[in-house]
Amino acid sequence: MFGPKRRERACVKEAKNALRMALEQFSDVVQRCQAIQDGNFSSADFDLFQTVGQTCIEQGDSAQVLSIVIDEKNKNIVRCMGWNLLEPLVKVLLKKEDKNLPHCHAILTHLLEVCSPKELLVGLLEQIEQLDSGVIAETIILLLKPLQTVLLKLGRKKASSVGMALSTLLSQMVRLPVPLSKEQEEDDVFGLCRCCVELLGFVSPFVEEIKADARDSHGMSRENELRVEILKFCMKSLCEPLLEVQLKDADTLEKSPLRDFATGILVILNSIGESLPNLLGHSILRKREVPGFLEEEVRYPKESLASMAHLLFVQHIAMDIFPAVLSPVFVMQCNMEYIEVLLSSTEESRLQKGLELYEKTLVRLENSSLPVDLLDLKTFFSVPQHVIKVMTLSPVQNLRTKGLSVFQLSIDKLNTEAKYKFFRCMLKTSGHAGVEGYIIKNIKNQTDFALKPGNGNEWFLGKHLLPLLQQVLCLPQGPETDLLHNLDRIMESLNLLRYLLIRDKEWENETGIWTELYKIEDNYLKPLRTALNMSRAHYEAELKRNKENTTGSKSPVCTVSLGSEKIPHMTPEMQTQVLQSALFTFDLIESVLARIEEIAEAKGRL
Amino acid sequence: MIRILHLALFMLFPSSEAAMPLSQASTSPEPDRVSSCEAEEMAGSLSVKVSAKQMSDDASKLSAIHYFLLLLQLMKFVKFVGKMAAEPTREWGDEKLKSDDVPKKDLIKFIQDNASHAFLAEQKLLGNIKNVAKTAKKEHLIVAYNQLFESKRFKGTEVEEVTQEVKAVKIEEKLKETKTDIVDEGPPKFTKTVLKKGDKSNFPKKGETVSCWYTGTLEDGTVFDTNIPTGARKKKQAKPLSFKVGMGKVIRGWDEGLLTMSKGETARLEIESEWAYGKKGLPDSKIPPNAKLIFEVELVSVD
Repeated sequence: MFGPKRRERACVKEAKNALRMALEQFSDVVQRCQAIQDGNFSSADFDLFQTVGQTCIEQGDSAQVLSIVIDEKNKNIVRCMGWNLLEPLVKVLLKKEDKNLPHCHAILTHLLEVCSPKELLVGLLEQIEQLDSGVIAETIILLLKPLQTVLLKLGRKKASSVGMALSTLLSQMVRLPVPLSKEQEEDDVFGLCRCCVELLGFVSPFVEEIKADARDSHGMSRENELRVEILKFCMKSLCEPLLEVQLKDADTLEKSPLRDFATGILVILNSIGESLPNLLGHSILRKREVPGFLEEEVRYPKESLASMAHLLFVQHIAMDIFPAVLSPVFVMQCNMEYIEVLLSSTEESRLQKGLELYEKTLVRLENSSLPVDLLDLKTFFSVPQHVIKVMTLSPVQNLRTKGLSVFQLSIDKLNTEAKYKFFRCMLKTSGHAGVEGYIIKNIKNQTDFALKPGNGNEWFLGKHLLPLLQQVLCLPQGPETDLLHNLDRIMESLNLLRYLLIRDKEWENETGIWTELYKIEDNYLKPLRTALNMSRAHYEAELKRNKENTTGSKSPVCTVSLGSEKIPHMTPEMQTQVLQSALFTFDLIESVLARIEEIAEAKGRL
Repeated sequence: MIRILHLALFMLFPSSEAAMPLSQASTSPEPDRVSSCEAEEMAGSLSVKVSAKQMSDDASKLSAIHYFLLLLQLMKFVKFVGKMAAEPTREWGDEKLKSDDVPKKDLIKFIQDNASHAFLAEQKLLGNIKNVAKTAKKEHLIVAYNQLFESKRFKGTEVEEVTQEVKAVKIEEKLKETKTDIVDEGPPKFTKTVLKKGDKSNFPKKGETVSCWYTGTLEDGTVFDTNIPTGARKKKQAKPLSFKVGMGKVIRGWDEGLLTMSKGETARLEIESEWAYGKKGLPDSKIPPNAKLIFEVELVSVD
């Protein structure tokens, strides 16, 4: 009987009725409250006001609500209860329906003028605190200006409120996904970039206030509360989102809101009296302060400072306000602390940043300029260890390659004595044959350099070289050493020995190798030959057994699975291949050994 | 201590005033020379011919950099002498010495070969062996021989004593915090022109915090760095650059240059690239490789 059109009309009529009812209710409650003296409204009044007001606004009757709200007679009521209307207002404003927008904006503006700033602050922050991820950016951008207005009204007592507001805003912003590529930053689908830019505008009046205070009191007071809150904000931003962000340089992306944000943060720090060089040196200069000064530690989190160092030296953000007179060695010392923080992480992006910062800091140094006592500092030992870890264990090939190149660069910048100490240390502690082999190659290069006329030094020639050689020319487990496992190290050490015997004439003996040769023969070459024989015998036996096995089909003794997948068994052919390549490797070692003996015998020394 | 400086200074800057070679340290010839030096010592007005302008009259106020230069020279000298010093073995026992097995000449030769110059001088055993044999009695020689081993005043040890003192000085001066390679010698690689005089009494010492306004330009006039705010903003808003001077936190030209300035002074420092950013330059800040840098620096405060 009732067709769709009729049903629709019935619905609309119902809605209109409901609306009129709500509006009437709203007027009623307001009128009733007008009579109450001194704002002694009951909680029932509050609730009713809120519920009914909410309905009105949500149902689109904002015009009428506006007229009620701005009515002078209702001033008291609005002042006390108005902030409860924030929630529905925000909801409607976010919907962006043109019809209601101007009225809602007008209501909001009026509320901001009339209501108590403290209550408004609570109301606004409530709106920001529990946001669905879809509306974070929109809500923040909508409410930044109102928040700012409210905070500015708080006068001299605004510091903690400002801090609270900034903290709430940042915690929501960090839920937004960080754009990684240039296109993502341009599209800014989730709105992080816009939020960042707006946020800078938001804090600007507070920064100006701090600067004005400093002017008036002839100096920046460290205890100025507002300054402390802004400092906390900057430090937090440096960590999140800036540490996660991959900034693009001006050539790749001309206009980058994230770059502007980063610059803005560093400029703010500088403006509030935290000079960038002082921040940079914070980790190494503050150690002698009164212990238990936790406040200082908390105020300057190392991760944030690491982010700042990366922005300065790798991205060149705010470099124009960074003095150009700091010595590169000092900058290296400062940055080592931050490189350590970054390289201690397991996240690929942080490791990448750590390596980049290390590289950029090293590049500023002249070769062979770092003195040996720097190696006494903890970070100058722990950072190379981290780099080795990346070089050898990281599953990401880029990181491994970069790690290796930075490792070599770090060696190049040490002076001769420091190189010597470093090599000895690495040989003792690395436990990785590849790394040891690499170090031994470096030793060979250094000795080669020292043998050139005019380059002689006491570390890679003569009496200091010999203990180093002893460390190099030895088998870690004697004749039982696994030659294949230690292949890199063994080959490099034999190369070094061969090189020395050819290069250093026995009548010059600048390296002392000729007088040590008999010892090396006993301690290294003999056990090595034994090991070779044993290994060869073992693998030949395995090979024979393997060949015999192909006739019968034995089920293998063990299975290997990776994740949940079982790895297919090695076929006998594959096994044969492996065994034969092992034997080939032994031949390789033997050939170098033979050549060494040849050279030594030719000079009548063995 | 002054004596050590004297010796070292001679090696660095042979000049007629400081002409007191080590070997003549305790001999009597040339009394005029010795006394004039002694007089200078006592007057405490050792004049030193060093090209740096900040040398004050009192020699003990040499800045640490110059201590290092002196020490280096001294160490080099010591190394050379040290090569000769290995403690000799005592071949002859008392009985043997007294008998005719050990002739005087052998004994003299041994002592002359192994004892320090000062010892020989004191024992009057210097000079031609024949002559010494004529004047010295065997008993005296035996006494001298014994004394030599007791006091261990062998060749090279006199200087050894000196190096002990020198080492002690070096440890005091060693700055633990940041280390700069202060091993190169040669003239300072910067020049200073005073634009405005300071109070000439408040000079910063190493480790003290200085604050300054500065502008840095390249030789062609390009400004690459400054902390002086431009435009209408007054200096009250910006802060001067503060740092601990002489600790290697800034480029060497600054560390050296600021130590020569007094509070309130404005100077132009022209710094060669070796004491600035060298072969690398600072591409971040538009400083090319091997760039000579010119800074106009105003030393605001020292504390």
